[in-house]
Amino acid sequence: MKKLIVLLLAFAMVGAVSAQVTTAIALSGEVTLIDQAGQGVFTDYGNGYDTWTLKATEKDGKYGFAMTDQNILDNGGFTVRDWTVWGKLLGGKLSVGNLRDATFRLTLPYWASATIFGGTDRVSGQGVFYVSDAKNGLSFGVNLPYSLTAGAALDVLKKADLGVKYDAKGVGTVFALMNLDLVTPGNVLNAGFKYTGMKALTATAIFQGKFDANTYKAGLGFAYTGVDKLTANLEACFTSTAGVSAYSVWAQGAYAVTDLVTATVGGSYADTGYDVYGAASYDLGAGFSVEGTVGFDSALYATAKLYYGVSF
Amino acid sequence: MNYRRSLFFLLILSIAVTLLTACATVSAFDPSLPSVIISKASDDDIKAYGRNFDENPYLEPRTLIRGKLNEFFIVKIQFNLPSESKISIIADATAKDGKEAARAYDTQGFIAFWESNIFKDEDNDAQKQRKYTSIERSCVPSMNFSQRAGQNTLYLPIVGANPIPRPAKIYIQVATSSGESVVFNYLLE
Repeated sequence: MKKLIVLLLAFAMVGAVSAQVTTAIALSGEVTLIDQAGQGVFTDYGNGYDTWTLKATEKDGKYGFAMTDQNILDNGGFTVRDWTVWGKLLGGKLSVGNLRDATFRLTLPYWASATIFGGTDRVSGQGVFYVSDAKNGLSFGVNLPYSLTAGAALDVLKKADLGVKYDAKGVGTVFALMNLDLVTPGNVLNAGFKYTGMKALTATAIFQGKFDANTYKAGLGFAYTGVDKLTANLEACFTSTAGVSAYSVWAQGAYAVTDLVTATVGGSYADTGYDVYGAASYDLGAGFSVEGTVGFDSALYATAKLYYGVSF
Repeated sequence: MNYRRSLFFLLILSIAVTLLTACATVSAFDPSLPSVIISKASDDDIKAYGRNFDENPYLEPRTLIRGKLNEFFIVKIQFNLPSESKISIIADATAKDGKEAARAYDTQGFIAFWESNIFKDEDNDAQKQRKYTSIERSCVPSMNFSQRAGQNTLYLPIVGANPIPRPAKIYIQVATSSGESVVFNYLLE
């Protein structure tokens, strides 16, 4: 493990002397110092990942390379999660690799953990992905998902991903991504609209339809920052999976008491239960923060957590 | 039946888009104010987009060991236009030897910059999307664009390696289709 860290630091320092290369190791996680039962636990990834990222871009942004290793501290060793070689050509951007591309993805503004549908799909997996430059706010994309084993080229076409995005300046952005799979079949339509036409308000609507699996998801999200130091969020979602429906509603207000202290109150209601909570967090600096939470979700709970999130 | 549900959602979405488009707001034109004001963005201007670089696109990316990777100079451009106008921007940052010291980005360029400088890529990437939304909402869309009538503020990020070599001359010229041209000079020492 020590050797791995030294190697990764060496890569990071290479990035430090070259303006065209960005390398970074990002570690994040949380430690529950104590909860209402007097217990504590270390969660090394928190809600996310530890990653090593290498990104190299030509100084004028004409071509580049990116790769990410996920959960680098795993004992399983070094595993590349995604990689991309890309170039600006043919009036757009052409990417080749094991993709993880969010060009035609849309998430709700906050995407709380209580929200059961917070984002549409990315373009992912091995493929050849072209995204046109935006003209009058309109861009489109086509991904041909060539697999690592030889297969019929016609099937690749039948499994293409087709994306479109329209950015109306001063109003918002409309997205759609059709993940075709006429072979299985398993077609998936992702669509959404992000409204930014009113100052301080972001409103997002997203939808995902897996027609062949009879599964549908829809979500609405609002973020409002029009009151000084206050951020208000609301998210509501509905899903139907093969006729079985579920829903969630979540709201939260976060008030910046000072530059370092934030007070939060919120609550969620879903077919699986409810939760109301209040929290206060303090930014310790250098990527560390502490948070105390008291809530009720059919029983009273309380936690004190230490969060860390650093890049180097 | 399945497709009907999707069509229903798309119909609702279309109606919502239409209604919200009609609600898009810009403060009204004020004839007592200049058409264009250019200035260096204040700390408060920048802080309005978030406390740290994870969410605020106008704060430089920073790492624990290497510190700030880039230096930003954020230009604030305030428009007060009587009617929709074509806007042209020239932006340069030159070092003492005449070479480019830093580069001005429009919306797509700045998103591409951050795409190369975001170190974490989570399944739940709402924080990244919030940053990109801030860019889409507030960054100049391009160096030649149409700006609606009324008052609106846009930001022009000028990005260099940290530190931007001193002295550096920042030169910004904003011209409107009505023939007005405003110049901003700043010596970064």
